[in-house]
Amino acid sequence: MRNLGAGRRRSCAGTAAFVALLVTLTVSPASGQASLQVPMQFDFLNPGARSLAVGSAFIGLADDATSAFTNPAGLILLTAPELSFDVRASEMESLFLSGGRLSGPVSNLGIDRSLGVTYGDSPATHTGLSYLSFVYPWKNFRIAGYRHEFVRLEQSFEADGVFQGEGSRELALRARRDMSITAYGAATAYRYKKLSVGATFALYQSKLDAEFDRFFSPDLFERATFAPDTRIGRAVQTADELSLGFNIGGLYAVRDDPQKRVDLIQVGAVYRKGADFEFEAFEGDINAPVTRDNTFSVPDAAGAGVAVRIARTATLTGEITRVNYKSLLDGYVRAQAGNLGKFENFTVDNGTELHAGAEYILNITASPKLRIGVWHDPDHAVRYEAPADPDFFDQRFAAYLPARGAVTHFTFGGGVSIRQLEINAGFDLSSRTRVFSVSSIIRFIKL
Amino acid sequence: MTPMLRLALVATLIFGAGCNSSSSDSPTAPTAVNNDTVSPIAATSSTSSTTTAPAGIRSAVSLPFDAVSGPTAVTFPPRDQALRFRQDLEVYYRDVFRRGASQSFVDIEGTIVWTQEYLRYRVNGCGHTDAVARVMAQIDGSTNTAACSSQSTPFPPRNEPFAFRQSLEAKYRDGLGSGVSSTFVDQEGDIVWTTEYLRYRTTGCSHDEANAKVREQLGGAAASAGCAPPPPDPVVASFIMTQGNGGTVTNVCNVNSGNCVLDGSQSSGPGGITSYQWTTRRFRANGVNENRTFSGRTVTLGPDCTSGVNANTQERFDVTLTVRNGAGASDTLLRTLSLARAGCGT
Repeated sequence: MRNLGAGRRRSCAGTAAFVALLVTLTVSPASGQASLQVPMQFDFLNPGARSLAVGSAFIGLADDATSAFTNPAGLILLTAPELSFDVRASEMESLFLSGGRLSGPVSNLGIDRSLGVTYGDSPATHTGLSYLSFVYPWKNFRIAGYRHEFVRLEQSFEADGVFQGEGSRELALRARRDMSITAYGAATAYRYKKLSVGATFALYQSKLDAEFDRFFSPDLFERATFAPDTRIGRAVQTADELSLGFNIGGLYAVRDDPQKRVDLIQVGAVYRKGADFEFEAFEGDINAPVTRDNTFSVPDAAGAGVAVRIARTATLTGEITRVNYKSLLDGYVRAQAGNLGKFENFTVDNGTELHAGAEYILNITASPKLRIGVWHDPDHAVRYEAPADPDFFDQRFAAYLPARGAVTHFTFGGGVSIRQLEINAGFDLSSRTRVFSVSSIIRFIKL
Repeated sequence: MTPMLRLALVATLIFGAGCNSSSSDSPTAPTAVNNDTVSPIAATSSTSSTTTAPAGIRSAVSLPFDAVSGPTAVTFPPRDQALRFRQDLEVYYRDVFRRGASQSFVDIEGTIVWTQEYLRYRVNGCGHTDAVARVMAQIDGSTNTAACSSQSTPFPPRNEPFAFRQSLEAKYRDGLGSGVSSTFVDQEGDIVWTTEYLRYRTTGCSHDEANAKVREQLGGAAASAGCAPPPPDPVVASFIMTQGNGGTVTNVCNVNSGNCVLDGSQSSGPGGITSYQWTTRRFRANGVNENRTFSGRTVTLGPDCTSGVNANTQERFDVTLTVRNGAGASDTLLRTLSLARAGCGT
């Protein structure tokens, strides 16, 4: 296995969710043979270092310019024009099946030395501007515009292929995938008494450029050479599409009384409709590629949150979010599983995320803020459940797409306010991911 | 020669002749000859000038010298020829080297018979000590002349036959009470050149050829390997697999890119190859391996041979070619090749 340079990945604001997707090369109607699956996993973390630091529990709080994406109803809380941007660095584990033996006797020849498979990691890392927004208040309305790099990843790797049975070996794979989804959104919010509502309409620009080449090994038991004349299979997926999505949200101030010890109790809810985009694809033997055009659907999500402020210095937030990961199956996965007859074995669970965080403001100069949070990320990777008597394809798919298990993220960060400028930093750490964010908010108010 | 020695010689020759009939059908050349067994000092070493009439030589040469004793992997020459070589060596040393006569308790027949026996044991699997013991036992009357192995072994290094020769000298002197004989060839020359002669005889040389080669060495030439004819060209199985219009040679047949051809025309053998037998073995994904046989110089692997390879899979494909020539000689070659199929394809 060789990792062809660090895969890069950048994710931006969103539902504070992880989504495991599946990019597969597809199936010939003529032969009924399925091909490779390369798991692609990326997250949709909320934009902004502040949101990141409180465990991405922001639907109920939503009191800065990032709410244009997170919960547009929260825009109503902004009383002055605001400019916000977020610079983010991230690294995310991205495992792929790189080699080994799935079944059968070990030949002890070449690289076939032991039973069991190995996984390589093509870590997706990226640093860059992920979010930019501007909010303008007008009477009881708020108007916002933003640019959000929803997904950005670049991956490449090589795998030798796994051995199976007495004399079968998966063809070696060289894979490269660049993908980005950038949202350009316009949001507005309106308040009626204690209830605020907001909506965002986003134009998603989705780009996909992926190549998967299959090579035979001149010696069955030796490493693949990846020489040009050993390439016999190829799959390509491309997309450059524009599509629409929207978010709608609400925010209700259960209590907003500065005289009370608990002076704010606020609940929010949001629904996000993900974008769908078409992609063009073909795959198969290099001499006889088969068209595999299809649709990629970003999962929809719905969430509800609450924020409780205590004595104006401490705020507790919580959120629950349901993500419709199964939408991946109906579109992207089903199409690629084709007529292999094994589609029913591919599965993914809709995920319920739990987020919680706290913010504490020190009553000193610059009002420094300390934030901490945690959130539960359920296993939402597409996985393959092999039958009791698996054939070679079942063995491979199960190895490509194992259950990964849930992950707990721990978050923390801080911020300061200096006149109209607020600067925040946040970290989100888990066993699979590391995210660091620095964001700034400039409030155009007269002091 | 004492009566006991004569009895031993007679027993050796008689039993040796009897055993030879069962083993001479499959003579085998020695596997290797160490040039170090040739002692240049033998031709230049000095000898005693004392001359004594050889004892019992007439009775010894009257025995049937066409015998070879014991079942062997290496066949030795008839002893009359060996004796003739030894007698010629006497003349050579006397007339060419102008050596004076020296004394030996072992007469010429004795040294030829027992040296040949010793070497027979050595090139048929016996170690030095074992071979010496066996010869001494024969001298004492043992009739056991069996060799140690049916597998041939190289001629021994020169110090061991020389040690045997010294032991033989002591045996004749102390064990048999033999009187001294006169010889122009000293012990070293005796054992070295007798060994060389026998080495040539066991590697395909006739008596005259072996005699001439030893004479060349006596004249300063280097030892040669022997007179065995070069082995005939072997039958060699060889084949390639090609695919595509250009006949690209490959180890992996892409089943989506047309037929592959197994081509055994590179096989060779004396008189040409007359028979090509192919066996292919596919290691199928379903665990049921598939064996097929073909004949002919080339075999086209059409879809009937290659269908069913899983997508994105390289499948082991063992090919065995056995070729024969008109004389029936054969060779077999097994190669592990592959069938491969990408994607879904057609």
